[in-house]
Amino acid sequence: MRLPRRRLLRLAGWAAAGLTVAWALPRPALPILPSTAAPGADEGVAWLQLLPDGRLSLMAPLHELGQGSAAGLAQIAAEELNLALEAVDLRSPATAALPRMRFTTGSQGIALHAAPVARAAAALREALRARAAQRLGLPEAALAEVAGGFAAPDGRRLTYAALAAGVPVLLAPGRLAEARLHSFDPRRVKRQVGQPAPLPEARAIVTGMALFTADLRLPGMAYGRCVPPPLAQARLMAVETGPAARLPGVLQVVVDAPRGLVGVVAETPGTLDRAMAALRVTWDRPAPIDAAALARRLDVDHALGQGRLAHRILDEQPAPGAWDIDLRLDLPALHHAAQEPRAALARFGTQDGAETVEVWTGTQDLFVNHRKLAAELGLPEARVMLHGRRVGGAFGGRAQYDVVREAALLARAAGRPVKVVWSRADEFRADRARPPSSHRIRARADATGRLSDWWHAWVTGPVLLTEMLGPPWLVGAARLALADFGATRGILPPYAAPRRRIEMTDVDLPVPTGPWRGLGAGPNTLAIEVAMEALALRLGRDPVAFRLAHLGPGAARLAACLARARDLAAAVTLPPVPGFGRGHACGTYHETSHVACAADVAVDPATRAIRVLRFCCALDIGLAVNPDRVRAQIEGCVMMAIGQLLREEARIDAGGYAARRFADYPMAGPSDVPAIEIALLGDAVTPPAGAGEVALIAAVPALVNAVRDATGHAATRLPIRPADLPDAIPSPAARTP
Amino acid sequence: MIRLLVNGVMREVPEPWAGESLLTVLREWLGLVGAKEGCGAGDCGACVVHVAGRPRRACLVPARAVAGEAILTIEGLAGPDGALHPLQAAWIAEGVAQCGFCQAGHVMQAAALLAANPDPDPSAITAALGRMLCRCGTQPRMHRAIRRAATALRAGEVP
Repeated sequence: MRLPRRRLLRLAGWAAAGLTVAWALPRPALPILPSTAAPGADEGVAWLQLLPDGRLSLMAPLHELGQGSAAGLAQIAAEELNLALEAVDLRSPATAALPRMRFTTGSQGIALHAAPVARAAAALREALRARAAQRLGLPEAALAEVAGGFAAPDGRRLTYAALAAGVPVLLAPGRLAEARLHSFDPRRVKRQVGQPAPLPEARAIVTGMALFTADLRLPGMAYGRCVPPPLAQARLMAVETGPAARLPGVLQVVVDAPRGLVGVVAETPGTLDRAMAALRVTWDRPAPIDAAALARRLDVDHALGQGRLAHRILDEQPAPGAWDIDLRLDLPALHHAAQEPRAALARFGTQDGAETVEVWTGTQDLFVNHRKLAAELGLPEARVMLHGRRVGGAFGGRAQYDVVREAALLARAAGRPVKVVWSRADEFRADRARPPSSHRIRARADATGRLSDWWHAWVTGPVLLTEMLGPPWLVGAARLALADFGATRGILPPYAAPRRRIEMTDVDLPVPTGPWRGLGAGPNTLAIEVAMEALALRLGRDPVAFRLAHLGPGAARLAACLARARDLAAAVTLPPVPGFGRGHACGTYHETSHVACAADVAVDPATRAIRVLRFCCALDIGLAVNPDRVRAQIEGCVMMAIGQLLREEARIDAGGYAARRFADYPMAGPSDVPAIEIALLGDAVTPPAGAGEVALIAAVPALVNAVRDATGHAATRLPIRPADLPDAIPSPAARTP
Repeated sequence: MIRLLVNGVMREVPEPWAGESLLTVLREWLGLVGAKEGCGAGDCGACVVHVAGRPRRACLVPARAVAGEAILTIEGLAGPDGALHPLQAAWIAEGVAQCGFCQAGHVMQAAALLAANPDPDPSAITAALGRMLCRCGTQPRMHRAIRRAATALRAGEVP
């Protein structure tokens, strides 16, 4: 609704004098949940069509965030159809052109879609073969597959373009005929799958032609932005619109009190920035955050002092008595800090006299945005069209419904297309960061030196049981009944131990939190691997051998990774002088992705500055569809791990997250680049598993263990600052476990 | 109204756009969207373009302040025949890009480095990229791509 330029609008509760609620808020009967459904085996037919010119159109059912999964699916389709990768047109998903697709999370893009894409592409190939056989008057079996078509024994060739005969070829939905899959055939000499193909968009990216959401423009478009509420449930109390509304170039100040929405629409981005700075908005935000109370709430020992924790995940009754190790590890909140600020462009129109809306955005979950927007606007889903765009980094932070809502509501209020791009300050302020966590791990070995008892207790903020899941009442009920299944990811150690107790409490935090690359598997594997290192050292054992001795037959692939990472690292001998150290760690993500890392660090004895020299990583994800993209993911994880070791920490002050610009949240940069060696151990027959997050879970503990090896410092928190390290760096010979 | 010399072409920029930042004018008025706005504060470098041959963070430069100066953006880095600059070719060969958002800024920053120093050692590369951000962690490959491009340039490839 458009507001008169009143000086100060006080909103007592939901309404105020002079302000009427123009429409009742549509409330969906049921909460709209994230798009978790995995694709069916035969669903791939909806994603592929052969174009009249013999090229293949692939609308990959996932969002491209930089992980390269869509490119991997293009390689699979090309393998099945004997096409060059350049003959595949890779298109971004759109709600009007695709059945509801799963959200792009959890490194599942290739793992869940490789087989359906291969099945559909192979079925398309066989349908084309049948068409060719009919055309040539030959049995199908007589036709050989050649690049982009088929060849008869007499040398006649039919290309896909000739077979298409000017009409696109699609398969009918339904059950696919069984066709031989090339992509996973170990005997086939593959041209695409398993090859290090460049990203299809690589040239566009380096020439400035790759279009992200904020790169789009529409005729008559204006620029909008909203004031982010300090918390999801915060209510609007007062808005001072006058100074902003009076600025030349400001088209509209939009105040939608029932929705808690305050925004500005302006002619240019610079005007918008000035108007946003002039707005004064008051929320009914609770009292400023009490740092001491927050620290106490997140203190695992404080929680243990109150008795058992809220959720016992496992209790095999550890024996009472003294522990060989009893350590505490506190991990900070982490920002996603994706470089592309979230953005959406919305345009309303009419179709047959009825309102329609189109929105372009980069997200990890196009379809949840689609349904939520249709519900919010009171429009049938068929009149709401969302177009997915390439995402400039996500890391778990781009599955929300926020910027789409803002762009649509501002565009509707302004009566013209509106592009919303968040400010960097808002990106930090409203980030659903990785929650801080606090871990207590106790472990004991028996008389034979084997791990016998294990007790991991931790306190964390919520990861998945958040407002993303539904209204507060539902989330509250879920959190009483369930341990947050995002926070518990990776909590079961791969090591054999007869008596384990694993328990956690998920606490409410005064700041938003959510999924972050690897979810709980990052902090949990870190705690596990730091504890295993400490226990091995305490027992006077080699930490790698100690781990290997506790990896049973079910963990053979993980053990192979650990042995390989150790061997890669061992090819270089560390100088026998103070300050050099090597650490190892390993872990399994989603049960099918296995990784081990070895890190070499050097600590300057004078400044105690930590430098990461070298990183060795062995990864087994089964078939690596594009080994080069898998390596790129590992390298990215290594850089992110170095940032976690040395710098990353989302500080919380009285008003919430304190960072407002990148300079407030230092990360790893070009001066931190170590030598990196990578071994991919997967074979060609094991179905491909995820690669986007797995290396991070072992990379951070390998670094922490390397710092311990170099300095003797047993970290109790991250990041590790020079001041945390001992004044005197011990010589290697003097290091004692 | 101001005139900007962008990629060799004089372009007119009317009010109110003339009062915006160089980055906003390039992106929103001229449609040259290769340079990105990652932070609006000069912290990340996704918006680097060349002004009079020097790398500048276009988000911090008022468009009015560079009227008439030669501005080069990523769209003008390749030759007029479309032949890629050796850095662009090296970027593709090394598979640097992940999400791709920051890459145009990095390529332009690196192009300025190679124009000044045809044989940069790792510390010179690190210094040149020092205040640039890539959250995907492509820095290891950027180092490689810059060294590869430097070799190609010294071998006589025309930028």
